[in-house]
Amino acid sequence: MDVDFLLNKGKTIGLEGLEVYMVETELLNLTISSDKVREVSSSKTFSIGVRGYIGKRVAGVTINDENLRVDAAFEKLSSLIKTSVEDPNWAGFPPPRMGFINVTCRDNRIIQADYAETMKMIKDLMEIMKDEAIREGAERAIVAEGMTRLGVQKITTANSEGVHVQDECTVFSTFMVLKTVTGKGESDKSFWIMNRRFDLAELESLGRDTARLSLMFGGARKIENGEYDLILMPQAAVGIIASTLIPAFSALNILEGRSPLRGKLESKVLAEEVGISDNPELPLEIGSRRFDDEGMPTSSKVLIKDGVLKQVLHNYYTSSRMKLENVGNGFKRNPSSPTTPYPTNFFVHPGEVKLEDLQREVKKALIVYETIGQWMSNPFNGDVKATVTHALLVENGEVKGPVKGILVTGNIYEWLGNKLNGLGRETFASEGIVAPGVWVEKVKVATE
Amino acid sequence: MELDFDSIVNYGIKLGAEFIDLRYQEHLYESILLDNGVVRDAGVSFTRGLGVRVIIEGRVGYSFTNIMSDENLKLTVEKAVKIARYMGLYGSIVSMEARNMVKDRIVSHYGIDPFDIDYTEKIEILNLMHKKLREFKEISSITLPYAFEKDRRVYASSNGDFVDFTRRMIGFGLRLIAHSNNTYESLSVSESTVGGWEFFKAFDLEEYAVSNARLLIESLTAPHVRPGRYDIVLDNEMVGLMLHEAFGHATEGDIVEAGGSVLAGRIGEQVASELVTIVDDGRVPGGVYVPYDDEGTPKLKVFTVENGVLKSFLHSRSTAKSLGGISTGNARVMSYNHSILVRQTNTYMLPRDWGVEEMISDMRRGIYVKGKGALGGEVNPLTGSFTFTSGPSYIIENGEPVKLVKGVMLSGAILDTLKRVDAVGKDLVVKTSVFGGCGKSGQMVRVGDGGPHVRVRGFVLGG
Repeated sequence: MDVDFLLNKGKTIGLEGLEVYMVETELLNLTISSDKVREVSSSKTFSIGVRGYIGKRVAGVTINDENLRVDAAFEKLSSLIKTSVEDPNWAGFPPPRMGFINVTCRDNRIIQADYAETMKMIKDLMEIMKDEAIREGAERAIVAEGMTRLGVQKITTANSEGVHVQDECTVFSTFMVLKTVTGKGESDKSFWIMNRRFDLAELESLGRDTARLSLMFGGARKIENGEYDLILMPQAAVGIIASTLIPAFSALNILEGRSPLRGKLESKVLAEEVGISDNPELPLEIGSRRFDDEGMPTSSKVLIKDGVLKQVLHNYYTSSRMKLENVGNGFKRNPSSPTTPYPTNFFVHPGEVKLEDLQREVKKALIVYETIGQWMSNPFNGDVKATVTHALLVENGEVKGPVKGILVTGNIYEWLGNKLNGLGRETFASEGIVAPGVWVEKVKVATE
Repeated sequence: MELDFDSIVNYGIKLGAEFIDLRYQEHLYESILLDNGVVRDAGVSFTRGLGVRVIIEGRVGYSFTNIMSDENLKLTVEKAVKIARYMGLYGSIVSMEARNMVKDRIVSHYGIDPFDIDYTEKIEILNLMHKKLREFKEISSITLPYAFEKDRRVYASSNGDFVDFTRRMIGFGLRLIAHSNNTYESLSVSESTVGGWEFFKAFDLEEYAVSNARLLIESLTAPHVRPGRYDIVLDNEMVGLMLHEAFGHATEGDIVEAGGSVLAGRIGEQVASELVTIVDDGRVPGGVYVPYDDEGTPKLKVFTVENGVLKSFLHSRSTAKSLGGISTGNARVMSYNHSILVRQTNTYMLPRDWGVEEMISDMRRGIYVKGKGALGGEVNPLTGSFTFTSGPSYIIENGEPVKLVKGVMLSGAILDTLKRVDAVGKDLVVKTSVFGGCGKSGQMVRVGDGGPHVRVRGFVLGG
């Protein structure tokens, strides 16, 4: 469907403003089971969201059906708008803005990948992981499950104020679960990554690390309840930060009473060594975008400097409401939903500490490699809850071995505040979140 | 205009497919989000698309599209065929359990189609609750969702199958945040059913809003549970969550086949207390209605565990064949543009004979773990570790629930936890949700779960 046609249609039915958001997607998806590519699928789809308003009443319709008549879709949109409730703060759609930065969001290795070549590369990656595990001492190794998805998304955003931008970006995600058997018993380790690049060297490196790690968790033992220092490896830190910290930076959540950062601008909210920025310029990460879903230029910005809250994230709605500059962080949940403030790439700056140094210094700690359930933590107050599935016990600087059945609880503002003992120098990036390892003192641990 | 399924199937056969099946979907999702009194999100999504699967020499190729021109539909079949042929180089061989041809047309029961109801009425329902909730000064954020889903799925295959199934689901919820003395607490609850607009007649919405608001406010000042091991009584919702996470995923045939389940090779073993019988059923009242799966296989009522003994896994046609089971009707997809996974439908425990009060009064000390406000769970089926959260719960002392505590996180091991069940109630409740479901490999499907109240000894909790 033609964007200009849709914008004109909005005018003819009497809408005061209309926004069109269109995503055209081509994807290749590989499913892995027991060392083999079990299934491959290819898809070509489109999705169009139209949002319109009359006065201060707003609504949206998503069209993923080519046969749906435009007249019928707009008729529904019009009736939704007319029966909606006024939003006293509604400010319309944003006018066009200049100042787009250069962002690398397209990887030609994905554009040019064909079915057979991709299958072969993924098969080779599985072999590399298994070989590495065998070389490191596994009696057997198997890639039990996995999935790889890669493709291209063309995003178009336009509105009746004159915004009309388009970009084509690649997407890539993969996860694999490696199961190994050693004299100590069965063990496993998985890896998961989502970005915009198909970098086989990077994947091989991750695969080899996963293979080595998979051998470390066999014969895990139980530990006692109590307080332990936690050394969250970067992969584990990414998951916990995503669930507990990111929503707090949304200006909408702040305005609507859903963020503990409300009223804290220029206040110290985290430890002095913590710096966080929003950075769309990182090449080929998921948040690497020239414009947000309202067509506004994205930009790099400092959110936390030396532990002090410097800025929060805005879309056009919140920046208009707070009479601030729009900073290009309006992203949609689906094509016809309103944008909400969300980071491009949420970048927690690394520190200076090396893992080996950390290990040497701690008296009683858990090195946490993987957790489940961290997404059930509470972003409204920062409370962290997670079950640790892969961890090592360290006592007096010495790794004592793998441990299991551990539930950790605490608060992210304490973990990155008065309980923070150091940030690692290595970072991990996935799903638009970059985080270093985090060393936290005295965390409550419940065990089996 | 209806698709010509036969000609698409025939085209696949002409290109060399030994088997071809089509998954056609028409999906409508209507949602409203009333955010602190403002309609933040009001919209409808209309989706239509086709998924094609072909099998050539045991290799599977999938292709999906929602561009429904004849030319593109042909291209979609050609892509699936091309992929299946490439799979000969690197892919695994898949074979499917044979079954009889199925032809059926089903529409789930509903009284009034919610799509025919004026939008103002829907907003009014949310407004009614909003006004009541605004009376509580401690509540700083009131977000109220409403959703209606109409999901029509047509399955057609070169086997002659043709199943046309339409399901309507409706629901509403409350997402509340209370704030006092720098303390924030949240509570998220929802109610859904397979049905129509008449669903709302079953609720006193103001009372529903008030009782949840009171619970949240009380939990603001409630203490955290001291982390450790406790004897617990789980309510109906929590039992459902536990079974879905702690057991259901590990019975999914594709996970078992991949070597990723701690239950692999344990059919016939005692894996739970003798009091425990677990069922996966697509037709149980209160749950999601799944009479056929997305391979057109009739959904069977499957006893995965009977009196504590592992009896069966859940299967698609291919996992049934490879693992030596029968197709149980558990092959499901999130939408037309996804490939088949083995998924649960409604997972629940069969009731026994304990009364809830009897179960609690029989305990000296423990926790009555409540599901209202629970967020869900997660499992690593390979190692058997699982975890899930509860809503605000109660400390039990001397056989009485005496004090509210904040929601907890529970953690356990599949092969251990269900063996610790020592009392199963006689009350059975199964619930589903139109707002979410179960996620696996990037696909979310509607599920239901539940059971009676259940007592478990020595569960690890963190506050």
